[in-house]
Amino acid sequence: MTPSQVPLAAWLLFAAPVSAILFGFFVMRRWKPELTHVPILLSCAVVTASAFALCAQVLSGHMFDVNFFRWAEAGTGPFPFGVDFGLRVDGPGVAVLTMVAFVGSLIHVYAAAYMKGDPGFSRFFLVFHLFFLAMIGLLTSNNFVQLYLFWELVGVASYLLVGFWYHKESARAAALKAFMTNRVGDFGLLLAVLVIGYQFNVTHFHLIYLKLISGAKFELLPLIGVCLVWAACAKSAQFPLYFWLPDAMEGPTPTSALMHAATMVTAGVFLLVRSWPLIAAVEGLPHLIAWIGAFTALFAAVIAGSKKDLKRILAYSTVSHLGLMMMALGLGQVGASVFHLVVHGFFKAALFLCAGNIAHALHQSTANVDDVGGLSSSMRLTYLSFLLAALSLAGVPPFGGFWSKDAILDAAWHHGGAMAVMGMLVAAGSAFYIFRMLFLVFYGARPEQKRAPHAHEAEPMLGVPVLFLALGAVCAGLLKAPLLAFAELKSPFERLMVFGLRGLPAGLPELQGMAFDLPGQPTLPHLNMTVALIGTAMAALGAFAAWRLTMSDPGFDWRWRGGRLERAFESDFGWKIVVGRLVAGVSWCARFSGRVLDKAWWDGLIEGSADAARGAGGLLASTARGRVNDYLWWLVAGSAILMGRVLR
Amino acid sequence: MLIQHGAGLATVVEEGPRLAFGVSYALSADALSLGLIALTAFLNLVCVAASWELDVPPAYWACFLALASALTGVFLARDLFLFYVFWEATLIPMFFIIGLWGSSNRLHAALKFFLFTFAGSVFMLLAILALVSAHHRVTGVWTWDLAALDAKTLGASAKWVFWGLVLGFAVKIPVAPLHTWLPDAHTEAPAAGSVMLAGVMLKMGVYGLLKIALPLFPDLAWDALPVIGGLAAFSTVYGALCAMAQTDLKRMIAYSSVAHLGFCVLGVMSRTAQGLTGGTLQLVNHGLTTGALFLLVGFLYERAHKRGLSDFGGLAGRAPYFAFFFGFATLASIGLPGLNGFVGEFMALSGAMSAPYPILAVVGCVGVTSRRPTRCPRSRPCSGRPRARAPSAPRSPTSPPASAASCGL
Repeated sequence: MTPSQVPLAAWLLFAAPVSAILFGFFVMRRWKPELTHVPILLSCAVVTASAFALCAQVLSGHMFDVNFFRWAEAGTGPFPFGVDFGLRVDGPGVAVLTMVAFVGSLIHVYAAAYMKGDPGFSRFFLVFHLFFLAMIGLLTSNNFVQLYLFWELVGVASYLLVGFWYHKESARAAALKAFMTNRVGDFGLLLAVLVIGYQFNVTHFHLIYLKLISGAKFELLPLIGVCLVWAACAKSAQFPLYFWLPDAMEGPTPTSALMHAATMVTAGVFLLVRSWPLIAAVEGLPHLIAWIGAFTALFAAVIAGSKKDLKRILAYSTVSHLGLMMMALGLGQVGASVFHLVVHGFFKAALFLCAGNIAHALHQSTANVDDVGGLSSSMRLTYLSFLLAALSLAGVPPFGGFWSKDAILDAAWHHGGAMAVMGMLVAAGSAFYIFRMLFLVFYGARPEQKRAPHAHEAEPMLGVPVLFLALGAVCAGLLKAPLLAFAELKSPFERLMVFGLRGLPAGLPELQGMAFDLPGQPTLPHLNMTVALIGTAMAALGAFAAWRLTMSDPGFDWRWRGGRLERAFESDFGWKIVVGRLVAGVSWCARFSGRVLDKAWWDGLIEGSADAARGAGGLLASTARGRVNDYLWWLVAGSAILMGRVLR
Repeated sequence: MLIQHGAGLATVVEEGPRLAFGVSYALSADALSLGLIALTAFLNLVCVAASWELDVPPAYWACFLALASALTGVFLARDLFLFYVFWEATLIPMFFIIGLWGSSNRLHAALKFFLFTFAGSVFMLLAILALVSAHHRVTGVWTWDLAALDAKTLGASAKWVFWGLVLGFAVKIPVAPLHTWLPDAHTEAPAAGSVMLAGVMLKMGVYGLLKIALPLFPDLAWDALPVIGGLAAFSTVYGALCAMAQTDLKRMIAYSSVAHLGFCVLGVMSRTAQGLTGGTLQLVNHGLTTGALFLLVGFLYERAHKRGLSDFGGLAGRAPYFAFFFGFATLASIGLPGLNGFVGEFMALSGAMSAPYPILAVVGCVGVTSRRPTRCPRSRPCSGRPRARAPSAPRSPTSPPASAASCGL
């Protein structure tokens, strides 16, 4: 396959957003800034259609991987340096891409209504779409350098959007924190990319896979693997680098929904999916990933259960679910991990947008559980959407989340031991925090709450996209269902994944006829009744506990606060304090080297040399002030010494 | 190697008349020189445009023109004597630019700049003299021509000559810990002066390294890799760390230059194809981005007579274009992929990776990532609540082209 044979859909994937951004920036922003969203929404429609078209193409067995042009060329010889720009359309990429395009487009529609009237409306849409473009680029990159490029672009767009309300001190601080933490992670990715280039002489994914299965020994593989995991931990908010994500909720709600829930944060998981053959080749590293994921999932689920701010509950829930994806990946279940990634995109976006609707109804930028209560009667559509998405998140059958979570729990169950227990606890914890939120927001209205008497249903532009997302969350399980009557592998999702991990994309001359299987399990496990029953029972237990503690036992949610326990929860069991110390340490180092070491000591020494020279000159000059007396004394002293020498 | 790389461009040579002791007016230009000359010409144009509304005497313009011609001379000279004359000739106009039109502490900064870099060049002069006289002693021919000189004539003293040259270049680059003249000079110079200083003058050092030290002493340079490369890697981290602590915008940019030039040296010293290309690319790109940043801060200073980080806030609301270009140049400077800073850095680092000491590249990576924070305070002037004395929207016809140039590649 040559670049000229690349389907139109693949071109449109980039052409539409680029032209929409350029048109929006140079024409709409000047001419009618309040209409900047029009070309951008059009581009969203085109991108979604293209993504579905590509998905259909991959489902029919036509993957491809093409290089378009080479950039930054240098040197000659067997391995000339250069960075290729290409396009890889394969199973995992297209699975995530379709979700991102569909969910992202709905969030764009939502944002058009949500951000209406904001003075930065035009700027918001341009950056928002830039992010969308970067994410598409990340998912279709065919080599590590290109991936790194879009990875950074995603980070910058997120920085600009978290700090969108730049006049707010907290937004600025949060944006900075998100950016810095991502930088810390990018160090890992940059180093990994450099070492990959050094070790393999190529950065192209499939060529690296090929070299790996050739059986040659690569000593630096563990370093590469650890660096990649480090980068993924920062981007996908895993322990120890998860702390930026809850703060990133300072941005406008559509930002939180698109980036910090549905798409951007999954980039880390996606990176690991792409580099899975590398990581699987390092002994012990998959296990490390599984443990990081399991720990983060449980840790964040527990904290999410204590938060009051609606968006923060959802933020910690995102961290927890990303942990589940990591866990599945670590256990080798690549298919289950990507499946959960896709389903999570739907329900989490829906939940975030519901939180946005509630805040919108209260005319606030974010809402707290104390501000609301009993909204189920005044905000029916939002309530319905939230309920559907929450049931999906909690893993209640037959909603979408059940199928994906079941696949992961099944993997954990079969791994056994602590992993199985942690998996089940996360299932209970997820149900707890999301039902707690549901009860507190939509039911009852406890006396401690303000119950928001003026809350009203959101306008259709805000309500309908959310409902679509929620319905998507409900139906996402169908992806696993045997739908394709004509095909051997009947479930569309598994078909995608199997093609991705077992097939050979067209378009690479180096790979002609070199088909090989990549490590990782592409298919999803069959429904195991034991696991499904226990998982559902855990979810029910979590939901029941939530009911007991928020609604039935009067005011427990308020009673336990105020003491040392709340402080422990607020500081994420001390981890935030540790991070604070580390940051303080680094800035102390900077201050010390910048102001003391460099300015006072080293530069002082250098400037002091001038003073020393001047002092020495002055001292010498004082011996030659032109006073005859002095000279006479020198004469006497000199002659005395001479005389002494001669006489002795 | 670099000349090979630029093989597409013919090397232009001009032989001038021969003077006493074999000094000749010999010029040559290859891809590297042409790139730097183009940079000099472009930045000089931008500087003149940026100073258009300043109330300065004619001498100001004369200084800039003299500076540009001296710099061009450095990048063209093939004769070492000529090279040295042009090299020192750049000091004079810059001394006056800082000393006459700089800000409050200008005299001190100008004197420090002059003495510090002059002290470095003395070692370079000694090295050149030793090289030429050794050549005369062995071959009986007086020549200063780079193409004709041969380091083998030096024998055992080659080491001293090499390190003399390197010392002269290292002060100019500057490689930490020889950098302390730079923050003062950059901070006190007028905006246009800082642009020329950072944009072009720093490049003389790396150019010298590439054109004189490396071709003449390839083996010694190889042995010196751990020291020079190590210092360069140290510069990237140390410059970034120091920049983080600065409260003066210009000082912060100045320290970030130390870090950027560290990447250039690292790439050049690795002497791999991608390292050399990346290092030289970074030379030109650093000139553009840092030039843009200095100009933008200069515009602020012109209006508010302040450049502290905490003196400004909320500029994005009052001066959206300024904020846009500032953000743009900042992102280019931190090496965001897609903007120009990334290309050179990435290539330099991957070059360093393939060199014998890949650990240097690892340190460089720390430099890349730790330099991010240096720039992050950039959000401070542009965001946050508007400060009482924040200036009105800087309007200047020159800021867009200068920053737009930083987008490159």
